[in-house]
Amino acid sequence: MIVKELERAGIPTVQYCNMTPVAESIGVNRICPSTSIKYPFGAPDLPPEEEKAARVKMLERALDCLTE
Amino acid sequence: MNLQREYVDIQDVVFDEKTAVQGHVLHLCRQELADLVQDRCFARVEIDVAKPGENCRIMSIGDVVQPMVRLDDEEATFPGVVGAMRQAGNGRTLCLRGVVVSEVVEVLLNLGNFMDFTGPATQFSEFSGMIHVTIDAFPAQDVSKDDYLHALTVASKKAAKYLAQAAKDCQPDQVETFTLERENLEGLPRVAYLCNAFSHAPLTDFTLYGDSMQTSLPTIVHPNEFLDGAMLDRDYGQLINADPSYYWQNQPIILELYRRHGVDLNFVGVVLSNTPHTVTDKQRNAMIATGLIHRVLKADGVMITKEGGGHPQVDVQMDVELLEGKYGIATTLVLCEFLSPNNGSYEQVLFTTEYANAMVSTGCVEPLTVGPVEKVIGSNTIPFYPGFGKPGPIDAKAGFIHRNRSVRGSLGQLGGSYFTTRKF
Amino acid sequence: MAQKLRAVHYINQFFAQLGGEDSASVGIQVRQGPVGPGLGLQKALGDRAEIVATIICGDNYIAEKLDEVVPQVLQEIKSCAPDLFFAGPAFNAGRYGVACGALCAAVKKELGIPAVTAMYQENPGVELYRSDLFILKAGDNARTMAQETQKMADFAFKLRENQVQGFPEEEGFYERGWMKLTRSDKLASQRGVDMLLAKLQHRPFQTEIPLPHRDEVPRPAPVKDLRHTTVAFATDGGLYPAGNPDKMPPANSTTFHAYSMDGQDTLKKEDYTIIHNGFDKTFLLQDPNRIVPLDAMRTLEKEGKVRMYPEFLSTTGLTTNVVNSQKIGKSMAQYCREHNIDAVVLTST
Repeated sequence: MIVKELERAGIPTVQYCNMTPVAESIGVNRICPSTSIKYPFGAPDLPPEEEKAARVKMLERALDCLTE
Repeated sequence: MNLQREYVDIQDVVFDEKTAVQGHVLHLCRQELADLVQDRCFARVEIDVAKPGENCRIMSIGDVVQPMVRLDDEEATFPGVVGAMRQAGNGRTLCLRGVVVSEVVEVLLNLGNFMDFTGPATQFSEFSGMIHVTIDAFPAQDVSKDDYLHALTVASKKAAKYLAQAAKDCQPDQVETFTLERENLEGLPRVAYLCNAFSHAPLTDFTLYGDSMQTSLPTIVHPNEFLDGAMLDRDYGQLINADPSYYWQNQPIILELYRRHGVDLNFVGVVLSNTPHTVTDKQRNAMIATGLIHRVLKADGVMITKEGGGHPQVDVQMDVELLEGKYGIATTLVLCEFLSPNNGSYEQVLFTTEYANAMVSTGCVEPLTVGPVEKVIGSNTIPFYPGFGKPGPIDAKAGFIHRNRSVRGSLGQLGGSYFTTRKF
Repeated sequence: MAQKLRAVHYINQFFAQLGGEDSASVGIQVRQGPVGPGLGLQKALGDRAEIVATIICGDNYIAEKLDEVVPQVLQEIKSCAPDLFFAGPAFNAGRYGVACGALCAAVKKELGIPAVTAMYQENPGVELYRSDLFILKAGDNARTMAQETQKMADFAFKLRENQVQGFPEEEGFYERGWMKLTRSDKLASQRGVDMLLAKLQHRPFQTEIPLPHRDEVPRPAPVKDLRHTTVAFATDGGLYPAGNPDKMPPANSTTFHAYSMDGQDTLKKEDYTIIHNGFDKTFLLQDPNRIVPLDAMRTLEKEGKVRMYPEFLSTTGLTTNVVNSQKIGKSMAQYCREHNIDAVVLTST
């Protein structure tokens, strides 16, 4: 819902979330699936340095959605 | 599989030196029960009784269990939790009616439940018309919250078995037989039940023969297994979104389908599935569960329920899209409208599949004001719910504002609710 | 003998017989007693109440400056010390309907007395005000005036005695827009199986829960070049500074807050907390970058790939109702405009 208002104001927004079907149901335009509800930008199974590198990649993916 | 449930009705509970059921009165030896459920995780256990109509409130109530014992195999009562790992659902089982065992949780939980026996809260739960034998267990020093809750969930099942055993020599007031084998089923519509349970973490889950189902895939189970204590509630993380064990032992959808089996439908079976927390896992479960319903149970129509909060609605949407869209099987959903009261009539569910055109409501959330009481069982309190009443600690004795859904057993998502909604 | 209640009636220039469109800009006028349709309303009220004053205003005058004129009319209403307020009926006159709705809403809020209006279903006043107050159903022209004023009179007394028990179809008002709890004599399980069999056997059935309407919003133009775009992070996962200084709630939030990340390269776990009841917070409490990826963003910033807005916007999105979500979203949108934020990444849990 919050995303819809940002979009309504013309601000390109990407919803980075896990339950993408819910976002699709309400008609959010840019949706980027996250790894998990519990850690959207996380990979707790990896050692910290690797997790951070993975996070950079996740973020890049989310940012790329803005350009589409 | 043939389950014969024998019911003994209890009209009163009194404390006595020995535990026994005489006439329809349960005489209860508190000390013996306290000793039975004592655990190293408890500093002490207090046993009490609350009766319908009493000016009494139970605060921070956990699981509510129907006293039950498997007469042909007592050792295997509540298999996997307090009983030996043997199949449930076959043979004779004794159940007490009119009395339940209730846990009183003495650690602070995120979402709390309570129970009143007089006043406006009583209309929301069947439990207000039953006598509660309460197990109020206090955590021992240095015991973790999880260890305490593990001990508590076992304590109530031990107590439930113990109380039922006291009626073994009684003449049952009613006997019901449950079997799927029946004549004259041809021509009747084949109806299955897809039961979506919620297991996300130990103690925020539901158990099947004591197993959490957190990582399990959908499976076919026999309806009698529910009615014979194999499926139990163990959810302390989101109490209000999980039906207590009583509603697993007396599963409303299963009882209804059994009631009509051979009458206007052919009850072909049950698929039990968890609702995991990632989209891929949800898709996998929906695919497997609906596949079982179509290929193995060969159902024409399916009843679907869920537990938990919002995201299990995604599982339900996937189930419906596959059943209706792919297999042409009719579905009907049972849902609680917990996105009310402030959301509009058209914003009660999180999905918009056109196939979900048959939904039954178990009610919606409304604020509830409860007044002062003379007696409170449980020294704990429950957190206030944002948006309902003033922020701050809840005073159990003085009364407070909360949600109707915080009454234990209200608006149950398994369908045991007389409530519904209308557009206003 | 009971004291007669005092009523005030609001009508527009047309029903006050001051003229039609040509008089739509007349200002506020106050007359003693009932005027025009007020005579019929007085008859319907009988001995129960007396219309002590009629307030008249031109449709354009009030509709063009609703925020200014409504309080002025409200002052006039207050000075009559009324027990009841009536506006219209507005039938299908749009500006009139909006004025009636706005005035009734204001009277209800400020004076707490029954405020009744009636209009045709297509009158824009219905959609705007149906959730704020009861709006009675009325026909589309003044032919039915006598019936409408009778209904309005009777309904006002029902409101006064808190006797509006029934649902829209029974009581004659437009759907307020929400679901209300009601009791059935059948368990949900039974209703469910009944419904399934009806569906299977192609018999008619009525779903109990309506499906949502989808609200299409056009896709905002994509970002052309991230290197020159200021991106802000937002979240509804309830990430707040440790100690929750703004006392944000764990559910049902009605606002958001912006928190600075200036000078930080990473979100340290001691500095933050999660206030949200809807999920397992352990992983985020261990490392808040898992919800607002500051450390990753700084890396990309250093590489010149994107610009980051130095604050993140946070709220708790659990059972937040649609109206509040929209409010929060609108205020976030305004914040973005005011702070030259070009794009947003909103993380949900």
